[in-house]
Amino acid sequence: MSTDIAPAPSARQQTGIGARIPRHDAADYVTGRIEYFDDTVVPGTLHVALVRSPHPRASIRGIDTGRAAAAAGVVAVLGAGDLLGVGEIPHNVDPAGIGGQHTKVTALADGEVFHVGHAVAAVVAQTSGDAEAAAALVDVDYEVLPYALSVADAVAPNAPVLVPGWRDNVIAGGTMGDGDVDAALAAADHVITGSVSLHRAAPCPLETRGYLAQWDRRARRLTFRGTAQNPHQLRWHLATALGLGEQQVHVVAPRSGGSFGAKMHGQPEEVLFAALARQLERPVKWVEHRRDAFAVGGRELAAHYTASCRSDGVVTGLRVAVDGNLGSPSAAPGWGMVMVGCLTIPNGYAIPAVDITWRAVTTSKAPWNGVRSYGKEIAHTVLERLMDQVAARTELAPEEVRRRNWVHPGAFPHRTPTGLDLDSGDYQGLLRLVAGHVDLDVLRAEQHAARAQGRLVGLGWGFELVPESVDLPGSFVGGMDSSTVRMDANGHVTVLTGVTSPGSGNDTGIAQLVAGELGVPITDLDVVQGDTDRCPYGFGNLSSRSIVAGGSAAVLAARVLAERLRIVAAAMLHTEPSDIRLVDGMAFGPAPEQAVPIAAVAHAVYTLAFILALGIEPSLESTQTYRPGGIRHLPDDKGRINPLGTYSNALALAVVEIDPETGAVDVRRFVLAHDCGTQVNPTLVEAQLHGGVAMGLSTVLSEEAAYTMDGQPVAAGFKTYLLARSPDLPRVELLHQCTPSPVTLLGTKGAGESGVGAAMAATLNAVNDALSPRGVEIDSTPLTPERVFTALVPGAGR
Amino acid sequence: MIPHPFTYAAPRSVAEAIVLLARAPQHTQLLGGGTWVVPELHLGLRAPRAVIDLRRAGLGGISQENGPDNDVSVTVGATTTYAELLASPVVAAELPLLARMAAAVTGGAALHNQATIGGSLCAARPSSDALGAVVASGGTALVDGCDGRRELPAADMVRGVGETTLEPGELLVGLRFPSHAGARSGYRKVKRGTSGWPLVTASVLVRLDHDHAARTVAVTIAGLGAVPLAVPTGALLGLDVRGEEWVAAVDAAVARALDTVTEPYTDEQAGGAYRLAIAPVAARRAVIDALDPARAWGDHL
Repeated sequence: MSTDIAPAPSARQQTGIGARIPRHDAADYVTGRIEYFDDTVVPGTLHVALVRSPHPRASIRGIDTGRAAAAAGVVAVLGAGDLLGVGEIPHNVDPAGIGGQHTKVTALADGEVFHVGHAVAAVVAQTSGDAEAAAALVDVDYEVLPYALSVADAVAPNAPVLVPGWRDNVIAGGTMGDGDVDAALAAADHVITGSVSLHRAAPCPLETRGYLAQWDRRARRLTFRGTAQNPHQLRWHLATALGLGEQQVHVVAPRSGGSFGAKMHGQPEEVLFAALARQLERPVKWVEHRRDAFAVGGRELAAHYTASCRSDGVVTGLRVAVDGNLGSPSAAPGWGMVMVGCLTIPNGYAIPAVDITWRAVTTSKAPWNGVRSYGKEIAHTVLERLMDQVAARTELAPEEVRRRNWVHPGAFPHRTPTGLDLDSGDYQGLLRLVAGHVDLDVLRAEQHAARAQGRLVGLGWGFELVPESVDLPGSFVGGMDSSTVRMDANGHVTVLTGVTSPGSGNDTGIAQLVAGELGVPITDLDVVQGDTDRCPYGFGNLSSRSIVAGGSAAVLAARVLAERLRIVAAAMLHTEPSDIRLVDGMAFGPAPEQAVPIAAVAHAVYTLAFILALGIEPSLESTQTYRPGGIRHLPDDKGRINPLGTYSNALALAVVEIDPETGAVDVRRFVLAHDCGTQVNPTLVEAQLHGGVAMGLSTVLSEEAAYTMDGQPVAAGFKTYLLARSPDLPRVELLHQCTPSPVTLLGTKGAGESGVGAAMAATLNAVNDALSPRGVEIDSTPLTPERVFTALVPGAGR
Repeated sequence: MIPHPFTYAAPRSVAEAIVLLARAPQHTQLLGGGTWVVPELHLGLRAPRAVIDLRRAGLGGISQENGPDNDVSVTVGATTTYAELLASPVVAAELPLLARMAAAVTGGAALHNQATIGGSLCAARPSSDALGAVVASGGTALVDGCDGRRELPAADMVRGVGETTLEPGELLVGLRFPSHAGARSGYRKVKRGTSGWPLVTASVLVRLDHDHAARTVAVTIAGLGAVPLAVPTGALLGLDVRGEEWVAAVDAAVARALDTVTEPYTDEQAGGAYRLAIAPVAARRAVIDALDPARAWGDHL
């Protein structure tokens, strides 16, 4: 081995905002050294298999556990009535809070099953194989009840009421908007109608859910390891359901193999396994089957709209009705997708009159959890279809129609008809970026030439406004967050955050922010997340707020430490604190010889507090909480609040070619110009956007969590739920624009959900543009070859 | 997690496998690469009492035999993987269609190293890549069992979707093909996306005379039913493949053959009417590929 080794580049790596620092633990992820949930093995653990309903709706007349209880390795077989001390599962966000219907959610089906896969009984055994084998021996006597799979069936006058005690099958609903849409329609040069129907898809993390619950009988304390996006809220959730104090629950969320919303709490298994561990006084473990992971749904949203526009392409009014097919009732926060999707309308366009009616409807499919982009994709697809329809009607270029309708860069802050306060943006700037990157005239000339040969080539725009950093009043969906920064006597820094990482690498971003503030190498820094005993209270991973809230809180805490370090270093170097620079692990004074390692300054704080640290609170630890500025919970004069803190945005251009003989859609080119304000680490931002675009394209083209007519889910594996693979996806041409947020500490806006809706909308528009010479239109997804072919050749479908 | 207990055996010879299989043939699942069977076991769709893993039973290997009249045949062991097919110079030279088909199988090295050609035939899926290409290549199934060896045309091994004509106690030990050295091959498939199963496959072998006239033509279309559809190609023989009437004649032959399909296969990935509509497209493109030396192996729609 050579001894002539250059210093490790990371030792003197650039830190702070804007540095393209590689993820500090990327090698551990790709080589499998990361400790995921399932890697944890606790001796004496029991394993659980769940007996699930084969019927979409039925009452349970009886459960015969005799054969299962006698099977090899079985420790216990329990139905809902056998669980001790378990109350109702608290809702993540209760729809009753906005006038919707409350449902009592239980850990196991209590008297009635609401969907195929609803857990009826738990079989606890020495091995997971024993548990699965015995689960097949549990005999459940069902009385099958009428069910409804579609919104139309669930809201029909004679529909069965699917939840006992409810007045109808609407979980929650309402109206939003402002202005006089009727007047706008009456005065319109053109009235345009349309609809968009998005299919049911799943969050689909590669790592499915899993939980390991341990009850310490002596300490009367529960340790709950599991795939959780929001550990502190899960702690409250478990404590409340089990009648414990929060101090009796310790939640640990190990490194995550993806979440996308699937690991937000409110699903019955969390409480179930905690209860089993306490009741049996043994560690209890469960890992979700892939088939059951596909049952966690989302996105099945349909919209019908009518809009008015002038002959110059300016849209003057929009009326939209949005329905979500939520599946059966749940304590998970899926239903909020419909509301947040509607709040996002009119997607950054300055349409003065907007009238939205929305319903989240329960059906006999499995429940939703949140899915990345959280309903905003319905706003994106509806408004982007509309802009293309306006362009066709007015014979203007589709980008020109968008340019005329977007909120003008000089018009921020802009309050939307739904009450959101758009703080900043330059949507026209995104269009200029794209138009400078591709030659639209050349693309259109190529399209013209292709059409002359009978080829089906289409161009599609997709703009997305992505409201993030949500805070819903009265719920544990919080917009603020906390971080602790601690420096030990050797100068090593530990950052503990209330935000968690779904695998996105926000811990690297937070590390570089803190390293930049403290002037220490990033290698001298650890970030701890996902442990309620160690980390300050925070809201975990949701709504693209990890850097906005958790990163900003860490910066504030690091600034407290930096100020103390400067004061002590100034005492050591006989200069003024304002003259101290912290950089490269050193504290420098103004003269060249005035330099001391930051580690020595830290050591002095701990050991010479009564000499050198008299000017400070003698501690190198600070916890700070950051609350983004834009959120407004006081209703305005029209009763509207702004529950969202930041407004990232992006403009996509897709070029597709359809094989006219098979209907296959080939996305030949995909450009995305995006603006998430300040970028702490552009490499991490790009990774998020690549992933978001891939998820959007995969969803709009292929992924589908379908149901048969008799209520059985089709998706059982990756051959019945088709994720896009790399050959299906184009290279993503990313363009960056930075319009810093005026309402966040660092100007950041969040990038975790961006790209999904823009990709869906742009592809839907491009496919319709390609089909336009044939005079056909598609408003339903996914855009499978069969669906596109059936549009081209009516009568060719199933 | 496989929800049912079962016994597992990995015999070291065909004879041992046959003895093990004879114990409870109706309740025994044979395992090739496991890429179809193991997921089905996990999903509880099969619940055998015994699993016999054939991967160590000596059923691999590719051999070439020269017959008395200079006729060459190639035997491919049942547990030969796609990776082994692709690595074989014998397959490259004598069985060009199989090589083309194997190269088009998606799933990457993990699947190529795992999935076996014999397993694919025994799974008897309409969505199989292998079945149509094996039938077009004139494959003969070599079957062994407690009642002795027998041979049958590969197409006759399939009775229905997921069902073979193998008797209880029998197993597929290999496939024998006549040499197709010098023949031109084409293989096309339509899928819902790269991760999907083939909805329809078209397999083509064409031999030309020196004057570019078609001497032999084999076209099979798979995916419309359990058994691949062999297109009668008599009307194509002697036609100049460079002439304008060639493609029209291919289309006509395929259309006549498709007229016989009354209930095209439907599954989660596509309906029967769509399969029927794209079948002639796949067939025409495979024929055009076969005659276009510029087309590389492994192209698919």
